[in-house]
Amino acid sequence: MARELTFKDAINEALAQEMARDETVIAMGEDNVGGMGAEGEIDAWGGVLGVTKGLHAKVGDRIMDTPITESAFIGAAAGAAACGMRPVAELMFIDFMGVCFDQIFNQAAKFKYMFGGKAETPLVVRTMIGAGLRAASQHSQCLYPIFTHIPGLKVVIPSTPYDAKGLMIQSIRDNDPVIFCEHKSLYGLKGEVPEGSYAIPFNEANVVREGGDVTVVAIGMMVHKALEAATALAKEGIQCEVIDPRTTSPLDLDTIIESVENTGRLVVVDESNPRCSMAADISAQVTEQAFSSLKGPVRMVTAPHCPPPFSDVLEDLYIPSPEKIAEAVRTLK
Amino acid sequence: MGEMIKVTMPKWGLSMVKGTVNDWVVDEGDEVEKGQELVEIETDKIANVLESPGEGVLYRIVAQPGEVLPVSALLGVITQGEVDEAELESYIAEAQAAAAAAAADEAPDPLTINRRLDWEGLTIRYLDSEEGERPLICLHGFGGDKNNWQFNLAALAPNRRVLAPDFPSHGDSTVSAEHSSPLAYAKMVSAMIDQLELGQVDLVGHSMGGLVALLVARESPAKVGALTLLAPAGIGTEINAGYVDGFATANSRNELKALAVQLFADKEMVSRQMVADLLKYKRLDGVEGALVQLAGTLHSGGKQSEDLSSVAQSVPTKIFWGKADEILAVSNCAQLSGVDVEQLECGHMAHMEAADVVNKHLT
Repeated sequence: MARELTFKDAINEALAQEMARDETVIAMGEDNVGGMGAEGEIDAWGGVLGVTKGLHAKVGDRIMDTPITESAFIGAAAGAAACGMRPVAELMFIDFMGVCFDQIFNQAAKFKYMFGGKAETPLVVRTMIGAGLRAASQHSQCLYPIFTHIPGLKVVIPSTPYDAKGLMIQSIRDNDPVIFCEHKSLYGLKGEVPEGSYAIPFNEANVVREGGDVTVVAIGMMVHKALEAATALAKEGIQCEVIDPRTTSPLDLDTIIESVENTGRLVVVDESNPRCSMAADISAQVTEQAFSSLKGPVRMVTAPHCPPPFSDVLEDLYIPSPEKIAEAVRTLK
Repeated sequence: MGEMIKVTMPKWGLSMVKGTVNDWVVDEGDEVEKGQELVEIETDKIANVLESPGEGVLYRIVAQPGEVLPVSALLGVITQGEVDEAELESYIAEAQAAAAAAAADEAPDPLTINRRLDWEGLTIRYLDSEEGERPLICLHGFGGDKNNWQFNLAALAPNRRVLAPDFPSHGDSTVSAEHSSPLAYAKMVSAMIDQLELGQVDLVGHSMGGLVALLVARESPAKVGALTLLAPAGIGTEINAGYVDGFATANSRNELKALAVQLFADKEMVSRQMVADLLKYKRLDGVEGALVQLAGTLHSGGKQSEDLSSVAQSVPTKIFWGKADEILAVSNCAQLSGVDVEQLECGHMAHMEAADVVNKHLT
């Protein structure tokens, strides 16, 4: 009965509502408006996959097209944030983040610390993550572990339309820089989304499915693969508790450990490459803090340690599948 | 007057009953060829572009982007040659009436429609079974919503018209602290009775909704027939103020679960989904502030603010009260004479925990 929106439209609505509520909220990015300034092309595109489509008609020039100069406009957004605005800058693909690491790592993330806590940097960087769209290795990575590593940044990875809207609103209202990761394979996913504004606090994992045998922590798109695996495993009599951390920084380790204390078994599913991944990080932290609760080794299900392949066949093998997750769970029973 | 051609919602596949109108590819006034792409249509299975059924000028776009319309609904009109505006208008009206009549044959259950009415600038959402005599309005409790009547509405609808609103700051209705008090809610119910031209209604109120029902009966006696009160506020003075204030400010799953179990005698009735839904509601902007303020109107110094026992005594009233109620203790009605009180083996949620008994009385 409640209204359904796609993941993409949920983010669009969060932006529209926050920009209506607070005029210091601005948005910018390549093609965010889509052909701004060209006659007949106003508001045509709205980002690579159309997330910001229609916003220009609602908020006017508070949403801007930028040149293809990530280092310049991400730096500008960080500066604007330090000067009282709340910018939401879109950096098409997380794979391109390398060209503006300094602006993010050394500037935005450090302002609060360098200026004795007097500077706040309410910056949101929206970016697409994930494989599955046949877009090859420079457009398909899940690089959120790199940002999770940096103190001063918050990292958000929603998995449902409801979470996408509430976490985007929280990201905009938060006074620290946030890397907001949108998995492109989720854009078409539909789910119930309230019409009003709401914020989901950071550091609150969502227990997506309850079960007493094995804890499965999964991130972003992997939440849906884990749920598929859990449904299949339930038929074999294995009950999985599926946990979506929703934010990797801060990370709600309490909810994960509470579950592991009950199940004694942990599988972490992460679409990132395995070395220094969220899977490795969560696995290490749980092993250190809840070793006595574990009845077996922690299993990691990740992409292999190689770039996302361009070949369709290989890309399908690269992405962790429900079958691989189920296989990992079975080794613990 | 030239030819007119209807552009209608297509039926793509056996299971398609409705589609969402996305963007129009052509503008009003554009010349179109037969087979030219006109408008993007999306169903739950497929997104595609509807092609023009004929050539001419897309003279009028009837369906706007975002509208969800049934198969064969009118989306636009293509004209050839001279256009007479008046004739066009009547052509559109006729086509829409025909489509509506066709859709009515497969009308959905009226109780599944999330309806709206405007009151004091707010949007009030409600359910209405539409058909039947003796309208009954179901009033939910503090922090509840119209879906609390999930075990009652469908059971009652065959026998009488049932309606269930979300009070302001509850469910899908607009959040407004200013309009969040039992008296404001009573005014809203009274306005709803007028706007929907219901005449005289019966009211069933749960908890705070019971207090609202008593206030409607006091303020607008001519509009109210009989009252059915389920563990009502406004009778006696005892109240679990800790629950009320705790619910108003709770902001995590664990806090809400600890509170929700107090509502039921059988604690197993509190599902994961119930707690998740409560948390979603609590997180809407402004809800916490509105509930804190509303809580302040319900009790002070650990006692209920208003005792309306005399109203219950002056209107035909039946009260159901769970013996295991942890929110409003059944002892609240110990001093109440002249009113039919039936005690049940349940907690605070008689309409859910003892739905059969309550439904039988309300039928």
